[in-house]
Amino acid sequence: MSLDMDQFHEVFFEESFESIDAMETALLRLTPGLADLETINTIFRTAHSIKGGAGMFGFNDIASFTHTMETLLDELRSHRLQVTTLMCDGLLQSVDVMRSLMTAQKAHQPLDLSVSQVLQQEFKRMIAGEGQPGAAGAASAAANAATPAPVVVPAAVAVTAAPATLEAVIWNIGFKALPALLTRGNDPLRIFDELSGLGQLAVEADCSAVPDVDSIDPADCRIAWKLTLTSTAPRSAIELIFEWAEGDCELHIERAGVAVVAAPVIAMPAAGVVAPAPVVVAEAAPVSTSTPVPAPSPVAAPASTAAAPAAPAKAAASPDGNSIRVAIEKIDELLNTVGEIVITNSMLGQLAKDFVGVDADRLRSGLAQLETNVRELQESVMRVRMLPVGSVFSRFPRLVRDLSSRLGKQIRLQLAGEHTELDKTVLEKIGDPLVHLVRNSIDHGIELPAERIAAGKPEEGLVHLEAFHKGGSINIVISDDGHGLDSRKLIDKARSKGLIATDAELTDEQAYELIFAPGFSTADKTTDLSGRGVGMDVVRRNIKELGGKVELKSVLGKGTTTTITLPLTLAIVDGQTVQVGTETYIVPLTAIVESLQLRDHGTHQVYQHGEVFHFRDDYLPIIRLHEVFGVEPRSRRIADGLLMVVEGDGRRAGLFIDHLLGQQQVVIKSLETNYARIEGVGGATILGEGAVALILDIPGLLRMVPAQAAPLQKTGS
Amino acid sequence: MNKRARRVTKARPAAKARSASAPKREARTRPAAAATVAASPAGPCRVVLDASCTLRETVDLQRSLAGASGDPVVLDGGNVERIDTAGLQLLVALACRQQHRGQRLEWSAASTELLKCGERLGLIDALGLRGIAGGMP
Repeated sequence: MSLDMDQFHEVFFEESFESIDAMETALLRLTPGLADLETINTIFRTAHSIKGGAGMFGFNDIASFTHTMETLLDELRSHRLQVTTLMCDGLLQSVDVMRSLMTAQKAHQPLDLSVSQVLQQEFKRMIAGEGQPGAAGAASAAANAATPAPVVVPAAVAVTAAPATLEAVIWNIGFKALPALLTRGNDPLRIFDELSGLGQLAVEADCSAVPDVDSIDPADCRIAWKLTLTSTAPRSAIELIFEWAEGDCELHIERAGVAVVAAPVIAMPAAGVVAPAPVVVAEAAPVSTSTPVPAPSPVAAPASTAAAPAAPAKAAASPDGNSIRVAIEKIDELLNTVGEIVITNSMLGQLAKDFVGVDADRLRSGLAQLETNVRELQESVMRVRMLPVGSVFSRFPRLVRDLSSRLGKQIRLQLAGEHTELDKTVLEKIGDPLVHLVRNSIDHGIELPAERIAAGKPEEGLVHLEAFHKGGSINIVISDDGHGLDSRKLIDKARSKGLIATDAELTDEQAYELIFAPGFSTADKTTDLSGRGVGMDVVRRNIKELGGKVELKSVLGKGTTTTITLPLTLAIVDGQTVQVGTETYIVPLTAIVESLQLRDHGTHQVYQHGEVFHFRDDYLPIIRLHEVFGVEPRSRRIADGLLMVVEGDGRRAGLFIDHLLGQQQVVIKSLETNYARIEGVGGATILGEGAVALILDIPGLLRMVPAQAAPLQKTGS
Repeated sequence: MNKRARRVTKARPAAKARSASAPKREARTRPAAAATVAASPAGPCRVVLDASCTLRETVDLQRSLAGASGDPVVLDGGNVERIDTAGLQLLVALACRQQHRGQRLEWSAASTELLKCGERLGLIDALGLRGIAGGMP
């Protein structure tokens, strides 16, 4: 019988996908010909961790693939191989392969190994030294394994005189596993292996808590370790190694003193001097102060610790060591409970208004304080759902790199505001529209280098992606310095497609709006990237579904800027409360154009279009909410009530209501989860007095216009 | 040869002389995988570890080791090709039990991988492998 590992897979996959994203970002920093040790080490460690976890869980194909990848990266970090463009491309491709293998493995589907095997072969050829500038092929690689090859470094680095010795820090590391460590694919063995790559590692195990073999839980690691690492690597590099074990171990890292080690010898390329891997030649006894100590006479490093290059002193990105991973359902549950407290608080507030007695004022003051606290609590919980938009932005460097090389364009991507936070649900849904917009900028916007030079622009085009808070919303701006939109061309195209009348004259802004019409494309030629006219209408629809909007501005010859405005969260909506009969409904503010009162005879009956009214230059249908929801209105006369002009999915209509009540933020409760999906209703909320109010789904209601008189139907379970 | 295949231990005098009351013990101490145990009630007990002693195999390995009773328990780790912290901890747990019982744990062989991983985790002394590890490169 073997241990059931399925229960532990979810976390492994989740962490692996995150690591693959980080690996991709690091790979994009790799520059052919440059030995950026820090970046290579980061990529190596990720591959190593994934390999270890995959091996532990028996995902042998993934383990085998990452093993080959890791071997190649090890050759790079040992300076036995140089980073080449081909290698960068292959490693980036391996990121895609790992994602697809992981996705298939997670879904228990058969793994398509066709690409991974080809890539593995390619890596093996690279490991053998093929494709290396000046390499003598496999034979030299075999020799490399025994003798480190000359390190080729850029001239700027080579001319820098290296000091004869380096000051290494002695780190005392206390590491104690928590019960889930092993089952989450974190093997201390692998962690210590990686640590030993940073310098000289001494390991002392405390087995006093290990129970007898008869009573031990084999998956619960009960050994505690005291590690002593002598390394020139920064603390962040050590923390990075323990990153995967975060939350599953007790970790204490403290600086115990310093030691002096031999500096790595960097060879001049022209001289072709052999540069052996740096070896720790001096081991100072741990000291309690950080005072540098003189170098003792060289002694051999202990046999147990493989000599490895010390990591560079340049600091790696420090991971946040104080975070925990929580299922989104738990947060939503918490948010829901807080929402209930808000409602209860509101109900108590209503009751207290009419309360009379000696303590009435104290009661009201206490409730006001409670309301403040509850609102703060609600905001805090909602902040937990917020994630930095950088997690979505991180996919763009790769996209820009791939597309620009395919299209023969030179494009620089500039990212800003990656730390701006956005609701997780919004974040998940914004990725695809953003990809579309960035692709449009690259494909349609930025010109070919020759065209740019002819237009007096720099050869390299710029795509700028930025996120920032504005009021209660998040703005994401995608801009480029390409050739911009030609409103004349847009209008001609729209005329030829019959989207507008042949004699219609449009302003520039109206012409830009044509971009969002279904089936509209400005591309002269259809490519696999764009030109099929599928996209911008979908982009706008997706963003509208998130309660946001998209605007486009362009200057011919200068570039295009697209601005997406999104709500901070989907859990709360700013709504207008309206009254129909005895019922209260919530209309999302973003859908409201304006409200007006019609005089008698202000409406018309149009054949096949029902009741309409004149609004500006248009006739809009009237939706009588009391008919849709089957309630008794205060009056059926249009002049006795109000018409609220609403907009959704590019359509407008007038909602006939009794009167407006007020504006308020309401917590959305899903009807689908708690009852059933209802056409025209986006959710429900509980009002202060405890009554339930339906939140209207305006696009859904507008789709119902032809059947507005029909009774409301449940459309799902 | 299938590396996961159970190793048949050479019959030793104690095993040969196993009494009729022994079958129950034998049934209990012959696991499906991870290690093969040959023991006599009072004398030494020999356990041959399989090629893979990782978290995946710990359920079987624990059963084998828990069933290995004797003084000394002699471990043969010469076949071990893959071992992780979970596997090594089980061996430490066996060493703890032997110590609590006042019985010995000995090694007849240990693979390079076993020694390397034991060393990396600082468990050489806890496992009583110091004598064998002394010859490590």
